[in-house]
Amino acid sequence: MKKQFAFWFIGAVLAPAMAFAGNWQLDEARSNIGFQYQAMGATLDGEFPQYQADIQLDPAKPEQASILLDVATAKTDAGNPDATAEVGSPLFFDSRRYPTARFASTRIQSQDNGRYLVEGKLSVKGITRPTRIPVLLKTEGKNQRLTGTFKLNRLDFKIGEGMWADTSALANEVRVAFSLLLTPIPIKK
Amino acid sequence: METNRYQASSIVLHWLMALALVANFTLGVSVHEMDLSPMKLKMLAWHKWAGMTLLALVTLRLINRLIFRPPPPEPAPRWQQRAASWMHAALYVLMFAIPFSGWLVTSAAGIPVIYLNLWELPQLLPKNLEWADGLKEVHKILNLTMLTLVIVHVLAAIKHHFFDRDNTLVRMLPFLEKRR
Repeated sequence: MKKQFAFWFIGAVLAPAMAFAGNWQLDEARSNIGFQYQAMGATLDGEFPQYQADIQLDPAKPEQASILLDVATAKTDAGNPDATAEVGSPLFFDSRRYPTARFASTRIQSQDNGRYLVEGKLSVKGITRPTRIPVLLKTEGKNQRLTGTFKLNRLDFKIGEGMWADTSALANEVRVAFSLLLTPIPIKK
Repeated sequence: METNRYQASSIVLHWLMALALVANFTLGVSVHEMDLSPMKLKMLAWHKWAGMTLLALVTLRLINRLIFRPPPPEPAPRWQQRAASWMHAALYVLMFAIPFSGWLVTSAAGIPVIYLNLWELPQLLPKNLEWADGLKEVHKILNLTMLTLVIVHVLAAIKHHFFDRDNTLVRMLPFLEKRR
């Protein structure tokens, strides 16, 4: 009887609780991390096609979530073949020495209507800077969608050294926009 | 006597465009040879601005040509007069087609022209990098055709001036002494 109770207790209470509090994985096919930048005033759209995330999230308490996102810099699509060929070079991401750019959340503040302010550390090319990212968290069926945009100055991370430190042709400001679909990792039986 | 010369506006447009076409052709070839750099991005932008300016100028020039008919041709064999007409028509077509093809290239590459850093020109095509490559080839072939025709055009002018010693070049170059 006790055993049976324990079984049902785990099944009915703990398992869903674990599912909610547990890990989430990215559905890469339905996620996107893009960026926009300006060259001679023209806006170009780039994309980070390869990334990984480690996300702990309880949709009931998103403030306690933790988000770790790693982007493979060498795979960057800069929106133009010449730029894409150049972006992994030592002058830009230096992808051989710094293959990943990382965002690690440190604090999440709740705002209104599913909006949160995620504070964290953004590390690119060996430089770590505090970064705040306003996000929107929405439930899509069993999944959660996390969207947001933020701006950064590429020179803060030495993305563009030497001749590329000149911002008259290539603007300093880069706008990053992401839409991540988080799906619950099924619990192993 | 003066009626055998081109209109002043025609002469100005001819030489202004001749200069600008040579300059922008040279700029285009140089940019093509360069590795990616901020200077290349700037020169590419200047090349596009110049090209769009030339497109506007050739439009003006065509209107000018329709208003002011060119002076009657200098005495020459019929085939030469016909060849000259075809040459001029071909040069006009290319003066439109070349900047237009460049505009198509940058549109297909997904990079809008921001004219003089002030006005964004409309994109003529949706972004498609394969089309951009093909159109770049078209832009190049049109330019090589133009280069060939311009060389023939210049050689013909030189031939008329120094060998035939007629007024073909004089009517486009007002400070040359008129002959007979």
